[in-house]
Amino acid sequence: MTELLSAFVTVSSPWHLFLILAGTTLGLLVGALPGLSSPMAIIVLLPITYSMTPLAAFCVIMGIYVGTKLGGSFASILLRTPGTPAAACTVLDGYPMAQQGKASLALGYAAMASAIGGVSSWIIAVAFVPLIASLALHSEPADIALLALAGLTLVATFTRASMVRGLMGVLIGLLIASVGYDVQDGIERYTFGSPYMASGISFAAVLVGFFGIAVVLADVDMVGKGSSLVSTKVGMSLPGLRDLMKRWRAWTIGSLYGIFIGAIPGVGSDGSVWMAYATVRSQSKNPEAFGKGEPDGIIAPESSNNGTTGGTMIPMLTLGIPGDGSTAVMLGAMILHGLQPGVTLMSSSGDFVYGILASLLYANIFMLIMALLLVRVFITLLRRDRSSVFPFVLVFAVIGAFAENNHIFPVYIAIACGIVGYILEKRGFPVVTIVLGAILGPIIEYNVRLGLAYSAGDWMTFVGSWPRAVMAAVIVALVIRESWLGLQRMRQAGRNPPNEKAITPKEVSE
Amino acid sequence: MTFKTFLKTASIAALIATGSEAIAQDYPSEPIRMVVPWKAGGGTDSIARALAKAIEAESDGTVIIENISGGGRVPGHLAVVNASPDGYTLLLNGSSDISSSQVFREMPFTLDDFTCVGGVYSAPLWIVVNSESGYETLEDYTAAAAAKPGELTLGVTTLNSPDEVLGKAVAEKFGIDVRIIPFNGGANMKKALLAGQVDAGIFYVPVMLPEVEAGLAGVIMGGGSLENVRYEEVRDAPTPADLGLEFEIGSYRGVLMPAGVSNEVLAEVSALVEAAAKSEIFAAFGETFGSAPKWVSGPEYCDVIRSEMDTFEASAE
Repeated sequence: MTELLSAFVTVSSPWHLFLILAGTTLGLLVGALPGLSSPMAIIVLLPITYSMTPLAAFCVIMGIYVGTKLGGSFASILLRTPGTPAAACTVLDGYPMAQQGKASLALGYAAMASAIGGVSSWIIAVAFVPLIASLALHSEPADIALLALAGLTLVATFTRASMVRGLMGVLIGLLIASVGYDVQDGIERYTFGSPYMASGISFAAVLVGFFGIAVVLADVDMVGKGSSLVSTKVGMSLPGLRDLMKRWRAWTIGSLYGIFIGAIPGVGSDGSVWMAYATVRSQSKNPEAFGKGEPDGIIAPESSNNGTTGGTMIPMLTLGIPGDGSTAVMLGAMILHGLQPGVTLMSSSGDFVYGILASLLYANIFMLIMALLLVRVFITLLRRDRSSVFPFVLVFAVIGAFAENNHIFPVYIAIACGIVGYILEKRGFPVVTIVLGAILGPIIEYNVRLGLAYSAGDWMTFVGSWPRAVMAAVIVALVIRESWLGLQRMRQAGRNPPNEKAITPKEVSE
Repeated sequence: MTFKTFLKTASIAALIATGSEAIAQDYPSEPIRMVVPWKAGGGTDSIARALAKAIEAESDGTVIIENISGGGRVPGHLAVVNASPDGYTLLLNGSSDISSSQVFREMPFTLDDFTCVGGVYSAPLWIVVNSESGYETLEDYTAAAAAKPGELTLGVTTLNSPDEVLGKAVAEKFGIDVRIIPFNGGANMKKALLAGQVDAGIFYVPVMLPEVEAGLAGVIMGGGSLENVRYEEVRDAPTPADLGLEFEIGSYRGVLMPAGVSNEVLAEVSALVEAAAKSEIFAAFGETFGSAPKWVSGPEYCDVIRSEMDTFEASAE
């Protein structure tokens, strides 16, 4: 405790505070630009930090890490193009809300939920370091597989209006994710002999294709007209405290998912936001409102996204194990700053560890302040004609696909995904389920197979402990419930089934 | 990357604008591009960035790290093979990454498409166990495995990899039946080993070193000599040679250039890289990273890669 307090004293110096503020501001901007990501910004800035102390360098890095989390959802809400992979879920309710003329409120919900998620996960992470470290370490592949599978099943309820299309989308996503070299068998899958496919299809390319390029194609009719989204009010309107308290369930569930899934290496915020969204939706008294601009549908993923920042710190600082792409780069940055990440970091560089935690809390607070200022800039830009916005979205989409591997091939993938995504979306296909399959598919596959490798091929490992048996039962119950509801609806619809469409943000507007 | 690319573009633009010519000046007169076929943040990337820092300090030049990852490492290697052999495009990769991909995968290039500049950092494989497992030596582990055939596990990164070759060779040598579990990377395997979910794991030095120093894990064998490792207690771990196996497996990180480099350029680049690899900056990095850097010349480095290829070919048969 005294170490943490003295770390706060160190980090509270003007220089460190300035660095956190600068990093957070940069993070918000980087996050808001589709295609630019937090690991990318950290690695580009790394050489500049060589002359700083490790703690000063990490003040900037923590700022970027936290800032990109919220920045990503600005673009989700205003353009329905997520700025970061984890912001994809916020499109579902953020964009419809913006279309209803409540963009500033949607941004306010996102900012408040992010700050709540970030701060509460920080408190839990700091208060329960040993517990979370043990959770991070002792989670087994079978547990993670069931968790991700439960998430995938829950999310299938998004597409209740058309389960077939939803499942098709998920399967396409799984197919995309299965391309490449299979480490468990040592063989190549669906690479057609092309070495460029050997490492699989870059997820960044899939995301900017389906959400960046496809959205520009689909919204081309908006070119020439000023956006009506934000005509009512410029700036961010924060939701009232009473309203937020009423929605405690959404941010509590979101933050908890964030911290625990963030702590389990290998899933990360890209997955946690969907699980949080699906859980809050299924708990809601009014699930039909989701996908049409429901504030809880913004609060759940946003609090979960920033909630991972506290969770990922624990395995990174106590074990030297990265929880996501950003923390992997941070571990590299520590080595280059002369530190040794791993179990000994806490004892050898305790000041640094507590300093990182202190700067993380500051970053979550600065994020909220800077968001209030920066949102004006974004909204002013977006009030302009889309013809001045879309070229930039396309440019950044291409940069994003290229920069993942610094190679041109993923750019072709992105363009192909953009065209396919545009055609599917025009026909009312829930494109978001493809992205979901591509996110959760590899996590499920890897952990199922590793779990089976542990158990020497015995499938009973997935019900081998009480938590697993419960989780497996929940999954089975969900599938039965959804199938039952689906059958009932078919019966009700009788001989003339209405032309049901899945809920996509685009369609809500129509 | 964008910022560095910007610098590069800006400096080239400046050269054109002033009409000055970069020729006939000392190497390096323009930014050196160092291609790393891995994402930023991993071991090879850290070594490359430390070496780049040392080269910059030795020469006042600029080194741009370009992480051309993915694509089964093909795009990164091809970017160097297809570059002009002028000494301004370098590849930094591990010996076993090059040799194993040549043997286990189909690659649109061979070692002959490269000129070896030299090896800068030797990182052998090592077999690590959790201290709570009770295995203190290789014999402890193999005896336990012999007593319980098919029950003990041995973690590797992927199948058809250098670490699997080492694992199989050891299993064959002792006639034991262990289950080889692929983890898709060192971080996942590290977690599993610390949690006691796998009985032993094959890593590259220095992954797990802090845990070994803290007494949480122990080293039961090296894929080569561990004499350069910072932590003295592991240095006398048995090597393949001690078991009568005639190979060494590790990832000797080194620098390569495209084939067709003139002797003058090769001499200049080799001198600079050697100076950087032997510099205090790089030595200090080695100390924090886990083991002292070891330099070998270009021809010796190519021999390291070739002998690994022989080992993998023998294993694949």
